[in-house]
Amino acid sequence: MISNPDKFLRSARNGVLAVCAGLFLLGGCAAIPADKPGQEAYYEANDPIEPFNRAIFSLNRGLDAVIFKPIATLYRDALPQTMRDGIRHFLNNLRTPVILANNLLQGDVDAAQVTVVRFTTNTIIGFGGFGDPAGDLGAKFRDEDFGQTLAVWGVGEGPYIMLPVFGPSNPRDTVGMVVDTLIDPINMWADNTDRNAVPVVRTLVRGLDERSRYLKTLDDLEKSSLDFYVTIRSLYRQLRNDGIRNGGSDDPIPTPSISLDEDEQLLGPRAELLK
Amino acid sequence: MTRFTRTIFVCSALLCFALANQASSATEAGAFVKQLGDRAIQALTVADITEAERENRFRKLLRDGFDVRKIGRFVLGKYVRSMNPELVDEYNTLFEDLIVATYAARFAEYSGQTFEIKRVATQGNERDSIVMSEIRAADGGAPIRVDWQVRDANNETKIVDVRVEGVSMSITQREEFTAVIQKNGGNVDSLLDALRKKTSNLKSRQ
Repeated sequence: MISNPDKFLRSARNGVLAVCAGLFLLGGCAAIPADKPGQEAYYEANDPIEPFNRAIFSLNRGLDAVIFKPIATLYRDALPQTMRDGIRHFLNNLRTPVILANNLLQGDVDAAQVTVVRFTTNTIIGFGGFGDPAGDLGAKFRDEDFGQTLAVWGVGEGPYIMLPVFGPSNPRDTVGMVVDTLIDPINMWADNTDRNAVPVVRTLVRGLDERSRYLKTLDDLEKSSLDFYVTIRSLYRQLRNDGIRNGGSDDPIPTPSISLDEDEQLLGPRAELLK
Repeated sequence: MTRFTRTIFVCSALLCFALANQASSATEAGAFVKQLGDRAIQALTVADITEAERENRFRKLLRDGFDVRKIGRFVLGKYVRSMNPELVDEYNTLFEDLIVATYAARFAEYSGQTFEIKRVATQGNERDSIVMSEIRAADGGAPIRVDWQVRDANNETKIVDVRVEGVSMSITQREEFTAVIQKNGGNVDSLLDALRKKTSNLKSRQ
């Protein structure tokens, strides 16, 4: 655990500023608008390296159009739903150690118990994890990752970052992704036994499964969106916050309602910079 | 009774009244959303109507169930202040058209999904209820979580926000609209242009 979150945050912010300074020299930072509503929009977006992120987003969409989307479409059309569900359940089951570690790091003992019960049930009577009898009985799969754990510990998300291939993220979730990969015993085992292909294949299949489930959703979103980049940015943040709140569980803190007053501030972590 | 106990008594009576009131408004909110959902499935999912008819029916349900004007103002944020009333009227029309063009056609793709209210939460001192529902596909698969923020104001019950898997439609829309205005140097007309284009694009695709 981080002994001094304030210090960590400060150094993280300095790091971001340094990166931003570097990007600025390359022309990657958005200029801060001069007008008041413009400034609010700027801080609400929390996306200081937007031009750079947009460039990466275009790259990702290009890759998606020529590689990921066609393969995901093929995957969806070639395999029956039951088989794709089985693959997803198997991958979810493999994630158990990482989820369990994060349940415990978040101090969520109830969730940790559910994770253990799910693993034993699905491994034993779910044909090695291809079935999800635990989910059918009400113990639903709920993913956890180190990015969420950091959030529970009070670490802010930091500015929006578009990663090549991996897509939308932020410093907190990027660190989380790296930590999850490092602590995963399956990756350690693969590393120790020189089975380097295992983590790669696993990541690829996981990505394929995810993409194949959002084919229609993403197409619809793109059609109705005025600025797809901004839609994805907004969705990413809101979905992450929902995950951190454990929105899908049976006892969610009801999603925070919005007042819908025009003055309502949705400024996020950088609001203090406005004053 | 001493004055003190009387005060306690009155306070707890008031509290009970407030709680009962809250409970009934929560039940009402749940029933309201359930009824609207059932009406939508009944009226909009039939195959043998024209797209124009489907849009008309959708528009009627939208006006009955949602405070579109309130949502529209929220989505514009601060920029609404710099607009004259005629421009606001035009924006309201375009905003409603965008919602109709985006969602009406989706009901044509209906394939037996069921709509179920799970529970209703009323948050402490807040005036709104959150109705939590699930939409389940006919072929099994994971249900989609949809929360409805329902507000009682001016003797009317209206939905003011919809959240799909925790994603607020109002917030997403607001970020988009703000970005369009921002990209064009704070010019609200640019948003109206974009809305006009989008709506006619969506229509021509059908």
